Amino acid sequence: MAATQLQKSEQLSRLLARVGQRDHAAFEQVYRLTSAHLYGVALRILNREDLAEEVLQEAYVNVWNQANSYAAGLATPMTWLISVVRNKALDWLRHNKIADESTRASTDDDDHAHDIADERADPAALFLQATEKSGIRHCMATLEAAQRQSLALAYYDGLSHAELAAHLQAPLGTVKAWVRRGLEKLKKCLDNAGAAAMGS
Amino acid sequence: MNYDHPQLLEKLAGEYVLGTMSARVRRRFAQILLESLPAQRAVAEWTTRLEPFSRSIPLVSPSRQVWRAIERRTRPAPVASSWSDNIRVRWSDWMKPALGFCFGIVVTFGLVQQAPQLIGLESHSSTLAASYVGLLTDATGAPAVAASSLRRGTVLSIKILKPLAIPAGQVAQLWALPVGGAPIPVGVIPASGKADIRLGAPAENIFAKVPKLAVSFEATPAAKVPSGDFVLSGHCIKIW
Repeated sequence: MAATQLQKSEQLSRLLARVGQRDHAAFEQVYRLTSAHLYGVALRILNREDLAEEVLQEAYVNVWNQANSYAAGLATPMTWLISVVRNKALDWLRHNKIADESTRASTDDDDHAHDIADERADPAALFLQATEKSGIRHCMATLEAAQRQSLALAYYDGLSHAELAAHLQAPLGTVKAWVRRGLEKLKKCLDNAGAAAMGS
Repeated sequence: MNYDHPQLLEKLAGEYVLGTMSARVRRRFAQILLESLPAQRAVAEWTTRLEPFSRSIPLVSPSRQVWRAIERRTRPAPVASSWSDNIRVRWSDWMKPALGFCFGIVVTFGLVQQAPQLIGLESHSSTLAASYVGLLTDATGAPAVAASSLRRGTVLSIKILKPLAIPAGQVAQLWALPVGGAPIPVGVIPASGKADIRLGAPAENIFAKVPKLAVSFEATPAAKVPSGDFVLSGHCIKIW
C-alpha cells in the first residue's frame, strides 16, 4: 500500500509541476485524481453540499494559480492540496460563523434540505479509524479522553476554541489547555513514530 | 506578541492547522505566515502531522458542474479556431479600435519622448526598483537562467536564456543557497521560455542572506535536498 501511495504521490508531483507551467490537461488529471478526497474533506467540515462545492472550486482555482508555490518541497502533494481545501473551508466557517449551526443540525429544525448532519460519522470514530489506518493508534493512548474529543471535533467539524467550549460545556481556558496539551502529546508521539519508521 | 519564540510559534501553528483559532487570531496569524519562514515551516510540519486524520473521511465525488465552473475560470482563452472564423470578423469591427490603439501608442510615445515628467516616468526610467537579481550559468560559463524579484515582491520571474536539457521524468529545481545553511528549494523552472514562481514570503525574507542560486535535476518537485550535482549556478545580488 505504501508503494502505491508513493507512486500516486510522485505522479501528483509531476502533474503539479506541469500545472505550474500552465498545462491544463495536467490540471484536469490532478482534479480527477484528487477531487473526491478533497470534496469529502470540504463536505465534512462545512456539512453543506453547496458550500463544499464552492470551497472546492475556489481551492482548485488557487491550485491552478499557485501550483508553483507547492514546489517549496515542504509537504507531499496530497497534504498540500488538503491544506488548501481545509484552509478555505475554515476561513469560510470563521468568516460566516456557521460552525455552531452545522454541529447542532441534528437537533434543530433543518433549514437546509441538503444538510447531511444526521448521516455524518461521529468525529471520535473517524479519529480512531484514521489512526488505525495510519498505524498510529498507539498515539491515541497518550491522549486523555477530553483532549482526544477536542482534537477530533476541531479537525472534523471545524470547531473553534469558543465553539468547543460551548459544545463540551467547559470553560474556555480549560478547552484551550486540552487542545494545546493534546497537540503537544500528538506531536511527540507522531514525531517519534516518524523517526522510528525512518530508522527501520 | 513575540512570534519568533519557537514554542509559541509551534503552538500557534498547531492551532492554525487544526482550525481552532477565532476569526481574528486566524487572520492575524495568516498575515504573519505571509512573511515568516519559520512560521511557514511550522505550519507545513503540522499540516503533514495532521494529514493522516483526513484518511478516514469518506470520498465523495463532486457534481460535474464543479469541474465545469473551475474550467471556465482557469482554461486559457481559446484562440480563433480556424481561418474561416477569422475572416468572418468584419474589418469595420476591429479597424476602429485598432486605429484608436495605434493613435494612442503614437501619442504616448511622443509624450514620453518629449515630456516624461508629465506621466511620472522620468524618475522611474532612470533608476531600477529595489530588486534581487540572479544570473545562473552552465558548466561552460554561458548565461542560462535569469531570475529577478522586487525586494518585497512575492513573485520570482524566471527567464530561460539557454534551453535546459531536462532528463525525461525529472524537473529542474531552483535552489537558494544561504550562507552557511542548507539549500532551500525555491521552485521548479521550465526548460525554456519564462515563468513566474510564487514565493511563500516577500523576496527579502528569502534572499537577504542568499548570495548564490543553483539548479539541479530532481525526480520530484517535492525534493527537500538536492539529490545530485548542480547543473547551473550563479550569484544572487540585491540592487538598491
